[in-house]
Amino acid sequence: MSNVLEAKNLVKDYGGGVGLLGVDLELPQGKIVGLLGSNGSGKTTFLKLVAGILTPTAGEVSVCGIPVSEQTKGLVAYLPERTYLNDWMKVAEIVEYFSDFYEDFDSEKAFAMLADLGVDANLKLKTLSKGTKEKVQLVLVMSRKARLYLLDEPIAGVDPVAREYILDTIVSNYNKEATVIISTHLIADVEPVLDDFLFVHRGKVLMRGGVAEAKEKYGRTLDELFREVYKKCSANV
Amino acid sequence: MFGKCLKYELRAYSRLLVPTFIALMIASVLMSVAVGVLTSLMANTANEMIQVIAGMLLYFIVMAVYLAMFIIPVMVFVLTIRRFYTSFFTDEGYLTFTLPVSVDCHLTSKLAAAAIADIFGLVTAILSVIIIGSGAAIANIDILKSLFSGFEFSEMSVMLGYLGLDSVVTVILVLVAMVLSILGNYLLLYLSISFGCMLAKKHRFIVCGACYLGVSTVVSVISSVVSTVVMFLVAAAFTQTQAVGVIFNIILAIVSVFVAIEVVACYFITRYILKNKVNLD
Repeated sequence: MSNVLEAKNLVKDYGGGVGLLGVDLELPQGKIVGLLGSNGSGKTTFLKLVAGILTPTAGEVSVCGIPVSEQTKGLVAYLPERTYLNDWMKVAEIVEYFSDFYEDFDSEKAFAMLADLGVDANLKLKTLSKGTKEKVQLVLVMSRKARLYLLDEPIAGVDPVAREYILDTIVSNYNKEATVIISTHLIADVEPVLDDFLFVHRGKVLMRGGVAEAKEKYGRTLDELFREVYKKCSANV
Repeated sequence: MFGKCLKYELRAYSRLLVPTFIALMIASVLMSVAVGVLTSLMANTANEMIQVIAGMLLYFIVMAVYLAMFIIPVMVFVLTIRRFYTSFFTDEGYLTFTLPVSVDCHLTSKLAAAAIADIFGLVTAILSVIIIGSGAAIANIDILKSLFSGFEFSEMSVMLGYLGLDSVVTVILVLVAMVLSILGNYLLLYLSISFGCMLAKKHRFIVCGACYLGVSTVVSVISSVVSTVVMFLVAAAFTQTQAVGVIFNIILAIVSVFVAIEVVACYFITRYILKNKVNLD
């Protein structure tokens, strides 16, 4: 099984504080991986480095064997935790925008998902609520046939019904060629859809493995296990 | 990808510039009618009071025309700054930097769009003046005649010939210098914004403004020194009056080379910052 993502001694130093402290990681294709950690643990920094938003201070990161560059941006579908849409566009125009720039974008799928979520494609983005904009962003990202999906807090700002739809969408988009990384601190909500997990804390990967294996080995849910590991780490400082 | 980037850049400009253009054209037509009526009134009445009022109104219209000429160029300037800043240094940067598009493509498409918008602004200003002026011309054709009565193209070419100016070379050099200076102005803005945003997380507009003042001061000092030295050197080499045109062309060429160096330097420093130094929050 070939790796979709590889990171070697990945470091990001922000000057005032360290974002990542030498992360080594290999993720195979065909997995839904939970990137789990508290606020400020380095989850977003890691995703930004993979997406090409940040330049690493040291180390290397590659997607499908290609160092992060313009080329890998065509393989990665990134959903940031912020709303990044051009406010002056209509929903249908931003769909056209994605269709223009991404070869793997499926407009029909996007419009179908927007209809499922009750989003009017003729509305201007600036008239939408924050939660609806987040739904639109998720639709745009999940309408691509990317090799690597990076979803940063995809369910944090939406209502429970949409949360369920989003998780269903992620699972239904799952294919053997793609890997999905879901970064969140809402572990209990995403646990049912995850294959693997990574616990990150203070810029380092504390623990990683398969969700089913961890449950069997420790006899706890992922949420319980994370709380235990996090408490131990905090106590050791 | 360049074409796609340019398409969306132009779309961003046009959503504000096109309605302004339409409003400006409608205003120009209305002003043209007003100018026609007022000039005709002034020419056909002996009443001094009416002449004074019509003259004052004409004065206000002339002032309005003067302001209207700057509306679109000022809008283009503000939009260019805004487009660059929001595309790269606000949350929109998350979209810009995750597109499978090179920094070169982003930069060149933004420059091209700014240059096209600039030309659009110039054409709009000229159109506006022509429309308003035609009102007076239709009402009183003598005004139009008087404008051109003292002007002869043949006289102009004689004057250029006397100065030794090769008009084709001069026109080409002037065009090159104009294009380079437009690019240089925008790249100086881009560099200042990139540099300011790299340095500061807060009060970015103030820092970017300070960077612009700093960088443009340095560029002007260097260009003043270079142009003075060049003028002395070239003037010393040519003493004949007939050589004025040649001197003019040489100075123009050297200034163009200097601006070209500025363009290249600003482009590559901005490119480096955008590729390596943008840390979006």
